[in-house]
Amino acid sequence: MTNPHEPTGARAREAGLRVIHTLIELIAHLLILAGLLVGIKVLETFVHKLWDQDYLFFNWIKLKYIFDGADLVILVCFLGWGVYYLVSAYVKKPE
Amino acid sequence: MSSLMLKFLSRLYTLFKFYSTMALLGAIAGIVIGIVEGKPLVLIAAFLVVSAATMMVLLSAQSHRRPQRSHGLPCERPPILPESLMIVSLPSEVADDIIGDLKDEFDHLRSKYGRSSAVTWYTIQSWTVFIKAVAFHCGLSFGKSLTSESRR
Repeated sequence: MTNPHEPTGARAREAGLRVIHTLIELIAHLLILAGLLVGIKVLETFVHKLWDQDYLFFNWIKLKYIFDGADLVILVCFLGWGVYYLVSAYVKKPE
Repeated sequence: MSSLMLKFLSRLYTLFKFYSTMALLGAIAGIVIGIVEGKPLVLIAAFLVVSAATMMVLLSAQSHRRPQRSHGLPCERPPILPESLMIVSLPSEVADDIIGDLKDEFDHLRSKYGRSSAVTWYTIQSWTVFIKAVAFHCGLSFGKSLTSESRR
């Protein structure tokens, strides 16, 4: 993290760079997350239009489960992996 | 500025690959949950099949086991199941070489990065070799790279 013996200006600059890196990382994650979630939703709507609502594969597996599973795993990964990378981006010394 | 943009785009691509893979895994998990919810017996059947296959592989490997080579390093066994899969699937003329090479690399990685990294690497390598060996037995073309694996 920041060295307490550095001058205040340099420390403030380093802290600013860390925040910018974290924001860039956050924006990248949110962009991809939003893109994928919208993509999945569009695909789901399209498939539901093609077939009936609550289409059952082989009269067995609900189509909704597949899309819900994909959404859920993406969100859980964002909460775990995404937060870890945001913290890493902040902790990493800026070049 | 352009290098920053390139870095950002490359990061976006990496994240896209990761999250898409996770979405795919989530979809597969959805299918599995759907199947299990519809017919819970499938879960028990899958468990039995996997257990039986694992036991068969371990027993078969036990009967084909070759004497261990001794190395200068303090010896620790690689994971048993991946090694057994290779013993069972590989042709006998290349099995010793491939397993010996992987064991050497396993010892090297274990001393350098620790046991868990070495086990992960060993497991991935043995599954790769196993899939190639099965493909080779089935006459699939990408199984031919097995011989190049043994030459390394």
